Amino acid sequence: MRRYGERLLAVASWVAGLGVLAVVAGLVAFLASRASQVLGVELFFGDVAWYSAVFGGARVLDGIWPAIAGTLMLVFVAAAMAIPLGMAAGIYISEYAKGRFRTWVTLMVDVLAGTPSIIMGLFGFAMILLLRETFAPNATTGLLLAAVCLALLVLPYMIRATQSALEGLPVRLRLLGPSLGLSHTQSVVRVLIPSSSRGILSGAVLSLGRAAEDTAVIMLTGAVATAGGRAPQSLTAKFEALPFSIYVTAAEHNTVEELNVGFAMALVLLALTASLFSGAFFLQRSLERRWRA
Amino acid sequence: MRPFAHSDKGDLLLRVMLGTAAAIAVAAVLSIFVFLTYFAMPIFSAEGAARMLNWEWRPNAGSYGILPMVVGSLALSVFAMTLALPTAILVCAFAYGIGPGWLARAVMAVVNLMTGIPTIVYAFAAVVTIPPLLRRAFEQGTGFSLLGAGCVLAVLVLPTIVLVIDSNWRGLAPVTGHTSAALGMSATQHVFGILVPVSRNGLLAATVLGFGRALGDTMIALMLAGNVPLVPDSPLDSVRALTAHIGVVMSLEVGGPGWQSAFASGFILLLVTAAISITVRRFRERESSDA
Amino acid sequence: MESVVKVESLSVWFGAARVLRDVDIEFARGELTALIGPSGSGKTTLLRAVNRMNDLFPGVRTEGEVTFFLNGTEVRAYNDCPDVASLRRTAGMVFQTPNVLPTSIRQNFSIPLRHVLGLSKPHVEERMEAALRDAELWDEVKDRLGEQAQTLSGGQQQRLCLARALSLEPRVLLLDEPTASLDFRASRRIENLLVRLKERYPVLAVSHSLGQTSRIADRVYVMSNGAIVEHLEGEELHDAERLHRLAEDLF
Repeated sequence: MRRYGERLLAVASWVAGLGVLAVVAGLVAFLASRASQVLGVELFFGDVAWYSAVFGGARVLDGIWPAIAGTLMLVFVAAAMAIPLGMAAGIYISEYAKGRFRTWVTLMVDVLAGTPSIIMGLFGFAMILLLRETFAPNATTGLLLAAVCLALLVLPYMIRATQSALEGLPVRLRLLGPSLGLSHTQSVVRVLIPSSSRGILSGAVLSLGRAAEDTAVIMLTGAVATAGGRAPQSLTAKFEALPFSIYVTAAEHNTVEELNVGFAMALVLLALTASLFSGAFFLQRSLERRWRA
Repeated sequence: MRPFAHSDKGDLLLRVMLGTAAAIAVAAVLSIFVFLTYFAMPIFSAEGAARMLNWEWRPNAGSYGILPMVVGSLALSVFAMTLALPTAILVCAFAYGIGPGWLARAVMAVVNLMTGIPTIVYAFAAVVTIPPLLRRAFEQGTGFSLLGAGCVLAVLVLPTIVLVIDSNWRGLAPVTGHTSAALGMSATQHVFGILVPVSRNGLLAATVLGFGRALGDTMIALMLAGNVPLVPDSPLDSVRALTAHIGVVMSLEVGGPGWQSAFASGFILLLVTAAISITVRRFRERESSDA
Repeated sequence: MESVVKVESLSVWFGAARVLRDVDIEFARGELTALIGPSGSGKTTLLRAVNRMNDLFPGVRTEGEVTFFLNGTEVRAYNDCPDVASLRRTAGMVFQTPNVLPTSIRQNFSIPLRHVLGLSKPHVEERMEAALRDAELWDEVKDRLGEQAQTLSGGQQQRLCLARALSLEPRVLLLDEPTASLDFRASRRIENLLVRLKERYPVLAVSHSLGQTSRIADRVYVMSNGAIVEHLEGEELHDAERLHRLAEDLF
């Protein structure tokens, strides 16, 4: 009887392990097969030449370029805020914060990391409501607001990555700076941060991926289905973004071809985030290997 | 002795800058709490509570009850975890000795990759396939159901759980592995007889963390669960989660009690997820003090 | 004997555990002084107490005193030490495993020289070359100073660390089993180097091998359970029978 139960568990483990492979392979194959029916230059730029869309600001009314451009800008603006801030906070927590303040900061970072993205969107929306009631009656949602909320979403990843890269350094490296007569800050800046650069970079790349994939935040903070066929023209403008366009396609497609465009957008987004995440993963691994000795 | 060449002023400036960054992070979290509490204030009034803390979502009749959404969120998350937790343990079992080395590495690499698959991609692929499938299989309802959304949600949270268990077992397995091999135990006996019981705290942390992720997901609930604001009777019923409720209401209505109910939902979600984060932190602290 | 560093009734606690008990040692100009003993006997803690590196670990408490005698002045490391960073610079330290900065060979010198001593670029180059020559590494690296220090072999990295310590012009050298991670040939090379360097710098070294100690040391302190249990010098170090007995007691 025990034998039988053990057999069953082993078989179930095989099913689960192979099931994971099957689900992911199936998903990618499904996306690729549907997307391949529309894949081509027209998918991205419609009947507009790609260079005039990318560099000339020509309107692309029948292609996914505006959504891609919107996502790239969104990620760029969010990262420009979250990466330096998260790095600085992570360094502070790991190298300077002590006692109670440290406990509080790490607690807040944990809470932020566990907060659902729709809450960040709701928070952004609340900020606009408050602005409207106070000194900017015309305030409205847009690229900058969405980027701020996305920055909040990825901030804890950046902080934790920086913190754990620094805290994972071997003790001998921590002793090196002081043994050479460097002050604590010199040791942090000249020895510890350069030594953990790969881990910090991996956190930055991971943050880009998280910012690119999120839908719930931008849904409440200014993403629209069509924004004039161009990349966002200002920081307060409404914008298109890949995840939101995919969502809209699911809800509002009329033809199989429109649905296939949705699959193509999903594939593009997947390629973007998967490459960012695997980049972060390998950076992290190489950091661990570097200091294993 | 030679005097110091570096200036202490530079030190101080850098310290202040780094400290400010940390303070901004803290301020951000606090302002999220303040904003959501402020906008959810109506729920604390007797009238607002009567309007929102009930079981009827009937805006036309002036009733904005969000309790069905609370149940919807719980039902979805519990359902997803019931599937995901055992599967995650089995996947880890496969990776820790039951599967051959190369295949185990491949599985773990794919699990890592899964953390990079956007929620919206799962939701989009599923919305085209799963509801029609369920409609055909059970010949009732729309197929947009607790069952379908729960299954996809389980796939979404699986890598989170697997990776927590993996990080827990990584230090443990080499030690217990030798012992159990010396005792003549099989890989299956090692995993289920030693690793699983010994890592109870880690499994608990993984469960709580996975539950939090499931609770916080918006797109799968919004696109697959059907968004009907009623308490479900069967897995084939449609449900509306708190997250999806916020999404639906904020895009459909302009101001008024509808928005208030969205902020109230957000407030509840925020409290629950914060409690979850603090719980997971406790587990981690306990673990590191055990070590 | 002319002492350069004198350690007096030194005790160190890590939390509640007392790791050193009333230790008294001294080491002198022109000599290589070795600390030996089983692992966990407190050798590394004693070494790190000399330049106050133990302060970097949380929960450490130190009692007693370490005095440096430099050009006729006395500098006390613990009670009213003027500047811990300059004190640490007075002692050049080399660790058990090669501890190079993850940058170029040149930057391994320029970072401490510029930021600790505030030297200008030509002076940095000058000092680096002199130190690398002292550590017998110059010929091997002079054409690849811009390369990553981690591309050097283990023995070369350890000599680089030694050169880096020398470039800061320390008054004493503190070495923590500098050959523990190296193969036989690289170890011998460093041993020979140390024999030459001790003429200019008093050396305190933790050693893991009795053979090595008898080859290169002038004075030996034997540690056990955080205390000095034996002190050998001069001819005693070449008394084979005594060493044999010691080895049996210790290991």
